[in-house]
Amino acid sequence: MKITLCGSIAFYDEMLDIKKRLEASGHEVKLPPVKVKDAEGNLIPVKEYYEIRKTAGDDEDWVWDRKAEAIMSHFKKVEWSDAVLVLNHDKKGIKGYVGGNTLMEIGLAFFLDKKLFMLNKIPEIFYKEELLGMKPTVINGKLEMIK
Amino acid sequence: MKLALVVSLSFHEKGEEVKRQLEGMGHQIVMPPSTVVNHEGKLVHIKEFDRFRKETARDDQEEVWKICRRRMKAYYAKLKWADAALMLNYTKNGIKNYVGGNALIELGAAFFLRKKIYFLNPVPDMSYREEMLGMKPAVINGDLGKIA
Repeated sequence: MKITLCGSIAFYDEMLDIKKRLEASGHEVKLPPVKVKDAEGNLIPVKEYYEIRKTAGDDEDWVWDRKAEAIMSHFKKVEWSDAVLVLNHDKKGIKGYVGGNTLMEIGLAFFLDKKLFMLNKIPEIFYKEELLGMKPTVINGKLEMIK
Repeated sequence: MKLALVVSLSFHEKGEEVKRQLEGMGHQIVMPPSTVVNHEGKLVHIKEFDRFRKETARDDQEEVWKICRRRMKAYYAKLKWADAALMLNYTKNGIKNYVGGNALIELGAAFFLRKKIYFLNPVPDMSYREEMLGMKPAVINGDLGKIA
């Protein structure tokens, strides 16, 4: 199966581990990007870009151009896939956290009739109803449930 | 222009007023329908259905979630039809210019479909502000005449 992983870049190491395990089971896996271009076009780690973005003004065009590119790039990976697996680890004091970007990716997967899997239970977050409505299969860490 | 309004159920009446104004300017408008056939087969106002869903429905009440999913999919089709999406982001839940989860999902879909995205009011200060800024919406500050 073609699987796109969705989740926070803060858990990139965990993503890489899951990618390896899914590939060992015969799946093809895509991840969010690990590098983006800075204002001069040089590749920088995406975590460094995130730090820049936190303090960027609304009018710092290159910052939001990169964000737009990153959103679309991962949307295209969702479109390519048969399924998305949401890696919803605990974050910001919320168990099974799903951020805004991941929410949009889940929504797109839903609209495109992709299978939806979630690593951990749906979080207690203000958009819990939207997540419930899209009916992801919660696998509770068991990757073998993905088929 | 063909426009899909992205609007919280709480502001359905405001959405209808904006729809009227935009149609008066020559635009074609779609917005979420005001009624829905509920899990008992009854045609009800969407606010009544939403109230039931929030206050009474269980997380596992599949027949209720099925209706929600059908509505979401139906609106994706409307986003595909449109040239642009207009986010009607009014103050809600104590947050100025609030954009809810469902609205964010619809905006993401509009962005994927390469539709122009307008915001009625400035992008709010919320946890997914960066995602909204990344979709590079045109903020019209209440001036519907800016939609062209």
